Amino acid sequence: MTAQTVRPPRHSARRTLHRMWEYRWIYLMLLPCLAYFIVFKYAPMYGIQLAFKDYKLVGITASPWNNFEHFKYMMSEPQFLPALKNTLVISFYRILFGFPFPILLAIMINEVYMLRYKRLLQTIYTFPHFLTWVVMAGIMLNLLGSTGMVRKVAEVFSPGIGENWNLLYNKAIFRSILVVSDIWKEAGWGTIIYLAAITGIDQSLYEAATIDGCGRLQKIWYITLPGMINMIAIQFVLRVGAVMEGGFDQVFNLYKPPVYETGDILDTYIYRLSFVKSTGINLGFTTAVGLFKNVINFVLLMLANGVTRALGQETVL
Amino acid sequence: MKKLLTLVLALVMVLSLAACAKTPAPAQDPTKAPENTQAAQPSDDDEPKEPAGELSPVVLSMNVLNAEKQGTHARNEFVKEKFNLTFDYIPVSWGDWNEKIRTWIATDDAPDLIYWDLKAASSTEYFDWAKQGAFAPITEAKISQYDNLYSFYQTSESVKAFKVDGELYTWPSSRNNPPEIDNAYTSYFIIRKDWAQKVGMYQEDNEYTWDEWKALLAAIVAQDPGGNGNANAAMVLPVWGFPNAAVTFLNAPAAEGNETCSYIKVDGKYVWPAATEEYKAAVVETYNMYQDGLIYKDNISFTSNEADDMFKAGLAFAAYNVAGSMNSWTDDMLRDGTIASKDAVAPAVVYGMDGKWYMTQTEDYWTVTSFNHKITDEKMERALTFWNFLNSTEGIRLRWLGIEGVDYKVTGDNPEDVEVLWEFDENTNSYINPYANFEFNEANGASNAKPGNPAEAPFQNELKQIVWDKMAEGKATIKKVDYAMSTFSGENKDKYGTFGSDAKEKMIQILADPNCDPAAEWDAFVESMMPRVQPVLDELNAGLN
Repeated sequence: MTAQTVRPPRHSARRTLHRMWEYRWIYLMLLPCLAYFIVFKYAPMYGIQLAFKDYKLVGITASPWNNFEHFKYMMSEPQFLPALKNTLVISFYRILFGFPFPILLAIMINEVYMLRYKRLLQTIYTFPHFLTWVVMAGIMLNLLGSTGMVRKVAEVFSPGIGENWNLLYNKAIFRSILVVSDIWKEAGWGTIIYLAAITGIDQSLYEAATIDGCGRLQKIWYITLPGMINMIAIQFVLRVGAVMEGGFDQVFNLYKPPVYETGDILDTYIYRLSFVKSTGINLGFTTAVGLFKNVINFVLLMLANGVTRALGQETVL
Repeated sequence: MKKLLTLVLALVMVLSLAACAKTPAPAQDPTKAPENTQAAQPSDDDEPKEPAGELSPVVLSMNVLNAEKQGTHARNEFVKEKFNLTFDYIPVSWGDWNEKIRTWIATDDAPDLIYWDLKAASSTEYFDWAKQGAFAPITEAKISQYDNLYSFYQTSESVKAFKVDGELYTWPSSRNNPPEIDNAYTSYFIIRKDWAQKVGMYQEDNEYTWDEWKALLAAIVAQDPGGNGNANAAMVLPVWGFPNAAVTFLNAPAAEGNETCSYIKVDGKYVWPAATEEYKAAVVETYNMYQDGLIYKDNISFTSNEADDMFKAGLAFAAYNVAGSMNSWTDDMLRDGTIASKDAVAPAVVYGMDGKWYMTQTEDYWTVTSFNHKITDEKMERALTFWNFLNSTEGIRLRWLGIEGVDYKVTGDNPEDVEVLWEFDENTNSYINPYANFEFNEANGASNAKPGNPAEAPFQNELKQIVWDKMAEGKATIKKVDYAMSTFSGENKDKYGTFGSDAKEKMIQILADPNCDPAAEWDAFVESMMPRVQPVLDELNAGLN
C-alpha cells in the first residue's frame, strides 16, 4: 500500500469570506479589539522614523533625516553602556529569582486545605500589588533608612552598627533590594494565573495518585507541575520578551545617585537625559533608544519562543 | 423576554453615557462658590452683573499650578466682569510641568498661554522653538500700547536676552524684588532660635562665621535640644538644593541662575566651576559635614517637601531657605503648636570659609508666558490688557488683597495706602486671608506679586527685613547672572548644557560612601568629564570673548 499524506482541505478566498459571513457576529465582536490594536499599537509605529530624524515642529514626516546621528550619540554617551548592562543584569536576576517565586507560591497556596485560610493568604499576598511604587518606596525608606526600623532592630543586637547606615544607598546590594521588593510586591499577583492553571487539572489524577500511594511532594512533582508547564512556558516566553524593561516605576522611585552604578537602567537614564539635564528633551534620541530596546526585546522573544517550541511546549506565537 | 432584556441593557448603556457627559465645573459656576468666606462673595448684592459691556467674551486656556484651587473666588468674578475674560485651567504640577510643555509644543497642542518655568541657563529649547514658529511674537509695537508692561520691556535684561532676531517670544514675569535684593537668591538658613539658645550658641546679630556655624550644628547633634532622639536633624536641605545649599552655594564660585554648576568667567575665560579648587574644597567640606551628621543623612532620599516638613514639624534645627518661606513656615508652626511664639525661629546668615556671604543672583523674572502661535489677536490683546491692569495700583491691590470695599478701603494713591478689612487674629498677630485656600495663578504671567502687602503680618516683614537689611548694608557678595553665557547657543553647549546635574549626582555619590577620599574622587570625576566639557568651554570662549 502506498502511504498517502492527508492534506487539510484548502480554503479558497471565496470560501473564507463565506465562512466569515456565516460567523459575522463573532467577527463583529473582534472589531473593537482589532481597532484598538490598529489605532494604539500599529498606527503610532509611523513615529519610529523619528529615531532617524531631527524632529522639527513641522511634523515627523517633514523633519529631516539625520544619518543615524541619534544612534551614534547613544553609543558615544559614557552612561549608556553601563545602563544597558544594568538593565540586562537586573532583568536576568528578576527572571532567575523572581520568575519561579509565584510558581512556588501558587503550589504552596494550592496545598492549603482550609479554604478560608487559603483565601486569607491569597488576599494578603495579592494586596501589595495594588500599592504604587511611590508608596512602596516610602515603606522601604521607613524600613531601611537611617532612622528606619531595620537599623533600630539591628542596633539592639549590635550597638554602633548604625554609624554608617546606608542600606538604600549601597550600590553592592541595590539590585538585591530591587529583586526582593519586586517579589514582595508582585509575587502574590503573579500566582493568580498559575492557580487558574492548577484549577484546570483533572482532580481524578490526584485521586488515582492517592490510591497508588503518592505523597504530597510526588503529586506536586508528577501532577501539579506538569499541569502548569504550558502556562509556565508561555509566561517565560513573555518575560524574556520584556527583558529590556528593567522596571522604570520601581527603579525610579528607589534609586538615588549613589546607586546609579548598579541601578541605573536604560529607562531611568533616558528619563534623566530628557528631563533633568539642562539641554531639554530630544524626541529623536529617546525614540532611537526605545527602538533599540524593542528590537532586542523582539529578538529575545522570538528566540525564547523557538526554544520553548523545540522543547515541545506551548508557545505564544 | 430577550427583547426586554436587550432594551433594559440598551437603556442602562445610554444612561451610563449620559452620566459620563461633561458637566459644568464648579470652578466656572459662581453660584457654587464656597460659602462663609469673603473670597467667595463676588459682590454686595446678589444680582448677576453684566460682564464688561462692549468686550466680547474671551476664554483663554492656560496651564497653571494648583488648577483645582482656581476660578472659584471673587477675584475671578472681578476679572470676568471687568475684562469679560475667563480661563480654562490646564493643570500642571512641579513634577510634570516642563514635560507637559515639551509634549504640547512637540504636538502643536499647547494652550493659548504657555506658562513656563523657563531658566535662562536651559533656554536652548525656547530659542529652538521660537525660531520654528511655535510662539506668537510679542512685538514692541504691540507691547508699547500697555504702559505698565512696556516699562519692564524697556529695562529688563531678560527681555533683551530672550529676543530672537529682534522679536520677543515670551513674557518674563518680573520678580518685582526690591532693589537691595538685586534679584539674588536670599541665601540664608531658617533656624530654631530656641534650640540655639539652649546650647548657648545663638548669635544676637543672626550672623555666623563658618566655624561658629559648624560648631552650632555639631552642638545640636550632640545635645539634641529638641528632644527628638534618633530623628534629630541638624540641617535639612530642599531637594533642588541638596547637597549644594549646605556648602557650595555659600563657598564656591557656583552658578548663575538656579543651576549649581554652570560656567563662570575667571581671568577673562570661561571655566567649569566644578573644575576649580574652591569647588573641590567645598565638596570635601560637604563630605565631612555629611559624615559628621551635620547634614541629615536621609536627605538623599527626599523627593518633595520633606525638608520643609521636617523643620516645620520640629524635627530639624536648620533648613536652607530662599525667598522668604520663613514667613509662611512660622505661621504654620505657630498654628500647629510646634513653636509657642515667633521668637522661636530666626534667620541665620552664614559667612563662608573665605569670610564672605555669597549669594547667587538669578534672572530678573520667575517664570515666563509664551503665546501659542495659533492665538487670535483678540485673545492676545485681552491677555495683555489684563496683565497691564495687574501691574497698576488697582491690579496690585487685587492680587494682594482682593476686592475694593470687601477686602480693603483705599486711603491714598500708593498701592499700600489701604485699610485692610480682613479679620485680624490676635493670637498669631496676623490677618486671616480669606483667599488662603484659593489660587489666582492666571495673574502670574503678568509679573510676580510686589512685596509690601499691608496684610502681611508685621512680624513676617520683620524677619524678612533682617536679611534684607544686611543685604542693603552691602554685606552680601552677589554672583551676578550672565545672560550672554546662559543664552549662548553652540553645537556642543546645546547638546551638553551645563553638566550641573552630573556634578550634583557625583557629589551625592561621594557623600554616600563613608570610606572614600572625596578630593581624589572629585579629581577623577573632573578628569573624566573634561573631554565633554572642554568643547563647550572652547565654544563659549570663542563666541563670547
